[in-house]
Amino acid sequence: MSADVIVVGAGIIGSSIAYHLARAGASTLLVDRSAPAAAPGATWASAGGLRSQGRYGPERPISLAASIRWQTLSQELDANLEVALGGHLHVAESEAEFPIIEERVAADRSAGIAIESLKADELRKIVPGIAPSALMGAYTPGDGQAHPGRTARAFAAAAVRHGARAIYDSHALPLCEGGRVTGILTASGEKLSGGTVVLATGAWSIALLKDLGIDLPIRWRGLQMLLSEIAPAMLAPTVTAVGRNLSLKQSPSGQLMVGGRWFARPQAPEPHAEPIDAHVARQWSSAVGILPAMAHLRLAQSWAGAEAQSLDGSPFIGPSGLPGLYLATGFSNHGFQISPEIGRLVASDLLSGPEPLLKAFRPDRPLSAERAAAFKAETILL
Amino acid sequence: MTKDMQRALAPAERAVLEALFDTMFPGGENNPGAVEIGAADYLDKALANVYAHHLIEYRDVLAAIDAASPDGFVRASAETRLDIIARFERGELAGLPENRDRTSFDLIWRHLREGLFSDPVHGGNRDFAGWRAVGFPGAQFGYRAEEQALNHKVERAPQSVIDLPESARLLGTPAVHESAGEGEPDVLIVGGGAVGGFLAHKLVRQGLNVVILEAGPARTGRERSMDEILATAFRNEGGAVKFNDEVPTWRTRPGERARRAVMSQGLETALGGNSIAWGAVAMRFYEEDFRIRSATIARYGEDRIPVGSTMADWPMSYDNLAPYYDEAEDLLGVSGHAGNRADPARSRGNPFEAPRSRPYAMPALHTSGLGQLFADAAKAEGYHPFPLPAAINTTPYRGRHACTYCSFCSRFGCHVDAKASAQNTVLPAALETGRLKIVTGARVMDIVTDDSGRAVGVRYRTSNGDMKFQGGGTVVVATYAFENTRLLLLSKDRRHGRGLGNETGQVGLHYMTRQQPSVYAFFEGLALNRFIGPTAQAMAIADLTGDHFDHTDLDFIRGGRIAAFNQYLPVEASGILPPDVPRFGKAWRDFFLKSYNSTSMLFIDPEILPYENNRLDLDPDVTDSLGRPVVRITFDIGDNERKLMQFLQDRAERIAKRMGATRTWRRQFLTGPISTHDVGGTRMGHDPETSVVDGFGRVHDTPGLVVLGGSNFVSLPAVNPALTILALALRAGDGVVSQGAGQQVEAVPA
Repeated sequence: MSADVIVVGAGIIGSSIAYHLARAGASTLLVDRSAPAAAPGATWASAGGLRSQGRYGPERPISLAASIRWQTLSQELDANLEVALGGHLHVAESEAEFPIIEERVAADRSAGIAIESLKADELRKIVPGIAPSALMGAYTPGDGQAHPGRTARAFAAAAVRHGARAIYDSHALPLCEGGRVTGILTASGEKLSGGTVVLATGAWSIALLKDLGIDLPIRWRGLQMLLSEIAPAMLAPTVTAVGRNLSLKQSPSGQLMVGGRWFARPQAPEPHAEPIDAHVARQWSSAVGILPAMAHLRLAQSWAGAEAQSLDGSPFIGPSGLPGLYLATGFSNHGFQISPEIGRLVASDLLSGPEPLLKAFRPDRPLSAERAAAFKAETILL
Repeated sequence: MTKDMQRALAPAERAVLEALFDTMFPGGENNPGAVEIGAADYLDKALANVYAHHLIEYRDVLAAIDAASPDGFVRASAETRLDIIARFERGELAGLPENRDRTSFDLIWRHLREGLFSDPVHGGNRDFAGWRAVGFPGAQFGYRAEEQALNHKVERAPQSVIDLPESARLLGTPAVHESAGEGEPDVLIVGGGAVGGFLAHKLVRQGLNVVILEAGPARTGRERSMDEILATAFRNEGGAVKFNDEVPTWRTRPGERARRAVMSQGLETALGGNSIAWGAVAMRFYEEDFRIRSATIARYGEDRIPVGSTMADWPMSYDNLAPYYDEAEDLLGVSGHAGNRADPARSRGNPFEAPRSRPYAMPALHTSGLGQLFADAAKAEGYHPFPLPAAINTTPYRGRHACTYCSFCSRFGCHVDAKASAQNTVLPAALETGRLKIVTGARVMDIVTDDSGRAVGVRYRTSNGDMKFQGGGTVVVATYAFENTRLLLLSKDRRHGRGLGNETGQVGLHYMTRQQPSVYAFFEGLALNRFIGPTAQAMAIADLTGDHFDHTDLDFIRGGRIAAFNQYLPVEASGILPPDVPRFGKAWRDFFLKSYNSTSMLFIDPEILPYENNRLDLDPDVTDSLGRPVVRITFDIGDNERKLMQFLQDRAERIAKRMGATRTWRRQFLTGPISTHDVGGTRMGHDPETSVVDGFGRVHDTPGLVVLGGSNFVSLPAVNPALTILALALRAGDGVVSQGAGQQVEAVPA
């Protein structure tokens, strides 16, 4: 068996890439060690926020295009993705934080993103129960949330409908022959040849890259999420705050979902992390601080996923330096919203030549080797 | 008949069906009629697909109904139609098909209710019209506590299962194989249910290699959550592969002809077994249950043992089993309040419960409005109500989600894995060791022994019909009471001419099964909202259980548990009627629309004693599709049970009246076998003359063979058996491990 492109990893990024490749007519193979969006990958664990505001410069045009895609993605993929576009609100809780909001609004507006600055009373029209400490906010009404697992499964299923083949419950070891990657070896011992192998393997990329002798400043970490019991409808937008380690949203189930950058305890040797109770408590109180009604709710579930993080926080997208091997990894914490466009751009990059919007994410971009070593060795528990 | 064809009936037949359905469930002021709700569409579609095997019967029935009126059924007056349906129900119409096990009316009545009240995904209940008529919101992710208050008006738009949000983060399907590969495992387990999973987990963590052979497919267990008719009580799609093909037959005594058994729900023969659809009540037996015979004799004398009963003590004490109860509870995650034995009046939990070495891992499920109503009435009657302990999370537990109090629990997989199953507890960790292999689609046909009579493996049939051998150092059979018995009886060798374990003719004896002689209570004008919350979110009393009350002046021994359970789903509920309400017409419709949200059930779990009369064997006439005889059940209840059920129903009715019930009615005493509390058949004991296995499940007459599950039970206390089954399996695991190390595990005298 062979394919033009073998995509390894059926998380949100790999599934989207496979879908866009197949839709463009490329012979595509999608392989995953388990299943689309399986635990404990980043897609499985993701809180599913769709936030176009406050993004890193080179991601802004991609994010903007993605926010338009999200409006019709359910129809495009013919699946319920639990898309709810209730907006995103980034809150300042002191006057000292106002300039940060103002700068964000200015920068995003210049990139064409529909963003507005809200005063205290305007905030309360959108979230009546928001804490008195919320004084000002940046609001993007087109943002919202969707279900990462459903979306990855829908991308993968749509890829198959467009002719891609999918192999699940099988690892995929890149085969290196004569200085180039020529395909993969599956769990059943089968060799599958591919013109290009795309690694979209998140936290699992680290071990795979190491085996191939590719040294990139990338590490994995566990991020934990919380889910409350069911509450009456009280929060339409997704919420972050300048001075809080927090992301907060109310799911279609009525449950409040709390994210942010709260680290979980890594478990060796495979990427896997367990929530830390002390962090659960602080994470929860951070959410209660912005939405006091949550104080009456109980916790229903906590979990942690394994996410790959690059030294500069931006993903590695592009040729790996090893011929035949293409990377799409390191999206830690901000890959979901842009995933529809990342898939489209990567497919275009692979099939029709260099895609300018991806240039900033090339794996060979200059990054300090000295800082890379410290970055990889750093303890990231707290 | 192709899948795409959505209609099976000819126009004339369809017209008769519509007239029939609209007469049985007519439109009224507050409801559309059956046809407008979509019941005829539902059935026509089903007859073209999943019910295609009923099509011929339908054609005959519709023809018989049509022929019963000179001008045809459609043109007949309403009065004539009702008369024809009444005659149809009584089996008096000319040309009705003959059925061995049920009437055509039973079938059509069930299908009508499915079309009215099942999820619209199946083609009926159009725009939720059936659900709206009774106020059932369908597949909701869950409910808030205040929505369970009495008379709270639940304001939710009805929702189909396909629109269920997936906010919980859950594990996928356990990794399985098509064959076990090379080498022989230390332990070969037949059956991938709860017992197999928990035992495997224990063994692999102690370094043994284990292979599980599972007849059905792999699954998460969530595939059929929140869809009433796919559940074990209706289509039983979770168990369709195997169990639906081998439903046991039943007779009440030898000499009678056995018929296909009625059942309260089907068994599941896919990965996880009944740990998916169980109600998850996780309750220990009482100390005295293990000494049932000697304790009864000591207190009341030998002449109080009922005539014909084979009551015996268990080959172990509660203290022997207690550490394994702890172990099972820890793995499952059990919510509950421990009982206060010293001060029953102030006990939040069951004051009769056996001593515990630790509290429950999580607080009990919260008390619903209905639960509180029951508890207050029970207290006023002098009882000690308590919330049932359940293997349902009330807080996050080991990564699993807490209960959302949805409407679909017992008979369904849990949509958030709050209810423990094999796959969301033990299987992931067991598989992670790399020492467990699960082979699915492996239907074990018989146990293979060597020349010395020792069990060395099994023969199994793969899903494509090939026969294979799988060896194992120890062979464990854990396939539920029926299949455990059948496999032993079908496995014969030179030394075991009557089947393995059956040298003394004990296999199949002492069968017991739970009866469900509930008392129903209707509370006119009171909204109970009992469709919210898991089944196990129940308040119960154990004051009338076992020997917790004095039987000196009573004419029976032992007792039962009375509880007010939740879960009331409309397809099932529309079939629960007092004796004076007919099954069709305005009277049925009006009663059901009025009573759906105001009917409670005081569920009675009576203790069932073993009797000489009651047993399992192989049916001489009925086979499954592989030509193997199905199990034949011989079961009736004894006079002792009839008397205690009467006693319990009287007490339950008194509680119901105190709760404010405006009318009550009772189920019959004998509700039939296949209750999911089917036990006995491979009784355990010290003496091979009166038992099949020892206290560790080791078959007396067959070295290398272990049988586990409820089939080993000696008696059936008034407690759900699952937790005890798991505790026995974990204890047996210690037996297997030490046997592997060349040690003997000492059997502990009772």
